[in-house]
Amino acid sequence: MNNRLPETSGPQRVAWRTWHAVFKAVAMLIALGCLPLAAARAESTVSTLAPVAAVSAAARAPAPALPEIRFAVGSDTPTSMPGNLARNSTTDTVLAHVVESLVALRADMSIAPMLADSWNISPDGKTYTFHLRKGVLFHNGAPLTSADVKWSFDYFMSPRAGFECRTAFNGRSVKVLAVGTPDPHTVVFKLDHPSALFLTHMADPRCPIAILSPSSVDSHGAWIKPIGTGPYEFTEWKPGQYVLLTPFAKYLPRAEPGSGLAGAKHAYANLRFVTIPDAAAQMSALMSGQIDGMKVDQNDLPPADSRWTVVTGVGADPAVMLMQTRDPLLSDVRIRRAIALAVDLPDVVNALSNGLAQYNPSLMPSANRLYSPVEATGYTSNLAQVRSLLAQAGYHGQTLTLETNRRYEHMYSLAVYMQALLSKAGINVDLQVVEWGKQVSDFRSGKFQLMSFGYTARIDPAMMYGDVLGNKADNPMVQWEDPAARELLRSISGTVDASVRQQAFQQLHQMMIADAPLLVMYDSPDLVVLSTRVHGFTSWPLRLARLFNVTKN
Amino acid sequence: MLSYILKRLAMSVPTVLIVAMLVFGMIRAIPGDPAALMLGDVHDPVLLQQMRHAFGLDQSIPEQFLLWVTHLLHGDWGMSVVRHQPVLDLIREAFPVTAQIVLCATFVACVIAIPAGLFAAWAQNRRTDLVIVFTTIVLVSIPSFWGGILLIWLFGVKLQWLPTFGFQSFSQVGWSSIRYFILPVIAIAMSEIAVVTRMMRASSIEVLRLEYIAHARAKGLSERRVLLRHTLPNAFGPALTVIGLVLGHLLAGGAVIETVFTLPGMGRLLVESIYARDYPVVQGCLLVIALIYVLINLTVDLLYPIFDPRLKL
Repeated sequence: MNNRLPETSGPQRVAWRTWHAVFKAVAMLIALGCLPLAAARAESTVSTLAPVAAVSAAARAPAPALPEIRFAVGSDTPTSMPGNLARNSTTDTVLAHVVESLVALRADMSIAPMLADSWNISPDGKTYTFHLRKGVLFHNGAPLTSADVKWSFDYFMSPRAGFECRTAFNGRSVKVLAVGTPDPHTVVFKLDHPSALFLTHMADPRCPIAILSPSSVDSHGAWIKPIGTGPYEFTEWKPGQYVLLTPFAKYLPRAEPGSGLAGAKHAYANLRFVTIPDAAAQMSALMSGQIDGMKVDQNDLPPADSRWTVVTGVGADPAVMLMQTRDPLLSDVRIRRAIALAVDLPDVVNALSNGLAQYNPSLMPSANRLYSPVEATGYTSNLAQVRSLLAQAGYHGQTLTLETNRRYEHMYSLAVYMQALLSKAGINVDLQVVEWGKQVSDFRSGKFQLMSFGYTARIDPAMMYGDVLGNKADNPMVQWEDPAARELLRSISGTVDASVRQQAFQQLHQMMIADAPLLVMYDSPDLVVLSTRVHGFTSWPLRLARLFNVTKN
Repeated sequence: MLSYILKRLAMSVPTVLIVAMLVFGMIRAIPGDPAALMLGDVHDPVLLQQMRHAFGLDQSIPEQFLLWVTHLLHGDWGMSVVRHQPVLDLIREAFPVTAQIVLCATFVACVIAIPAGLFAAWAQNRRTDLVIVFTTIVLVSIPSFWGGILLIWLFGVKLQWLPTFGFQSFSQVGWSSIRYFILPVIAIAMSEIAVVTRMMRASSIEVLRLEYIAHARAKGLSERRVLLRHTLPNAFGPALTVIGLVLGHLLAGGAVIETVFTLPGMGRLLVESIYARDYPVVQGCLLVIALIYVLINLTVDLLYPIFDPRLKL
């Protein structure tokens, strides 16, 4: 059947009118969409997300001329409470601008005063007396007193608060027996035993003992929002989209120069932490000028461009290859040492990190003030020794399985390199790529032979060794069961003397290298891409973006 | 009609229940629980135990299921273990985002695809038809996330006409929200246009070959009337089925598009919750998705007689 008509006939006019209407509608949509964008762009310092922010922040909005720094984060913060069980790295980053503790970490991870001007430790090491800084105000205008410190500590220790590090102060690391407030500017913490880590735990950015106003919770004790003493106020949180922080006008900066989370902090701009889960979308937003900064992975660096710079620095999160010492094959130290000596590890690290990280065989980050050349001494590739060790151990080609994941590309890349190079050295390795959740489950239960893994940074080497050393029968997550090493670590738990601790850590490192329960490769570098309009940003080994003391032109 | 609707809704109860049971069991079969994932490489058995107790994970799976269903019947969808927010609130926040984008995209796709398919069928094997068919092949071959990235690159990065990320609800900021809609709507609509156009074209070709169309022409009706009055209603049925399926699929959460455009919608919520083993949210989202499919299928079935009076409910 012929249903065709000449091109000029009726149906074509119908179609033309339909298409015409469609094009008009699309053109109108685009015009309506673009006009507000053009208007928004005219106000150069106003975010594209500003309309909503303006509604709730209007009452105490900063001066209109204040610029806004927009920093992309890969995931939203699930909570606004410091150290809450739901926290993630975004929570830590955001709240590091809002709350402060009695003490804070410097860039080299040493302890500095923050809300406490000074403190005394009793001769038995069990009583800490903090002298509070005067003139400090909370974001609601109330002055800081010792009662607030006690309230904050008690709040974090109450089970309903869901404080992640509660057990660290409740016996796991140290037990706080009592908190006294002899006067409004003095707080006394009594411990059950001396601890080298008490102040470190207090300053841990992951779960600090943040000093909060009791107005942070409602009359029933339910969490509202953080009312702290930091240079920024927690102004607005739009879940899944952004958190807006605005400068606290009455913030009193410390006199010392800024370092890490310690020292002077100045708020020069509004801060908006924008949630953009996809790395490519973050890059697009940076290229279009909609964000001013983002963290990047070593495998995903943007091309050089005059619009942005890459701020690089050493990190503190060790990338490691774990070896299951209870595996029939890997329980033989000669096999483990053969694996360690089969690969030129500094070359692997250099290739993996695009030259942005150095081989660090130690569990202590190279940025730590106690780091010494002893820690920098690791394994040197020696294929003749590998062959000899394998022969002594009776290895005849059994295949080992190396577990990894694709969520963290650096772990996958490390696994691929190790598989290829170990196979070349005569050690057969199969790669097993699993979902991250399964890998965590296998790590926690110790069900693996080899695993490419990354620890999160511990701010004190004793914490790192404490999580690696132990008895696998009690805790399958530990990697190293040497009783002598455990005893050495235990012996310094109450020691605050830096030189004694340094010596012990050097000894622990040498013992670990000899026993080879895991191969520590490098500390994941801190890489941040920033718009060239942003100035004053510095890297930090704990890889937490600090945007105080940062300006934007 | 009412009894048909009630019958269909009653029939959907076992479907939803089976989905709920499968989801509940399968998410728990995946290695790793939310408490362990949240603690990661931190060893704290006391805390782990507390968290497992707080999330109800220390009970047996049948007990957990019974508890969940009981709470569900009381209108309590549970609390997110990761976000510490009620699941229903999270879905209430996320679903409208997805719905606004998807409904806009479906509308745009229908407005373009239905006339295009009809016209292509009418002009079968002519140049116009070939252009339409070729365009649909190109569109259907482009994954929506790739299309999205190209759109972001062109309109967001190069031309800087539109934002590359973010979302503003129409109800909150009015017309200025449209600039956040345009790119995701186009990205989603592109693949929808292709699918609906091809279905519309195929069904229209079949209808145009039938005798009553020849009869309509023979009695002197204009081609416009033949197409709109006699072809469109009879050819629209299969396209409507496809639209229903696509709509259901998209409302269930276009996680990829939502990730590319940073939309805080249902798809992203679901995928993030699966990664975090946030069981209550995964269960809640999948239950909503099952309900969406049931309701869309019901709606499509109810709409059929409007376009094809031969069908009676």
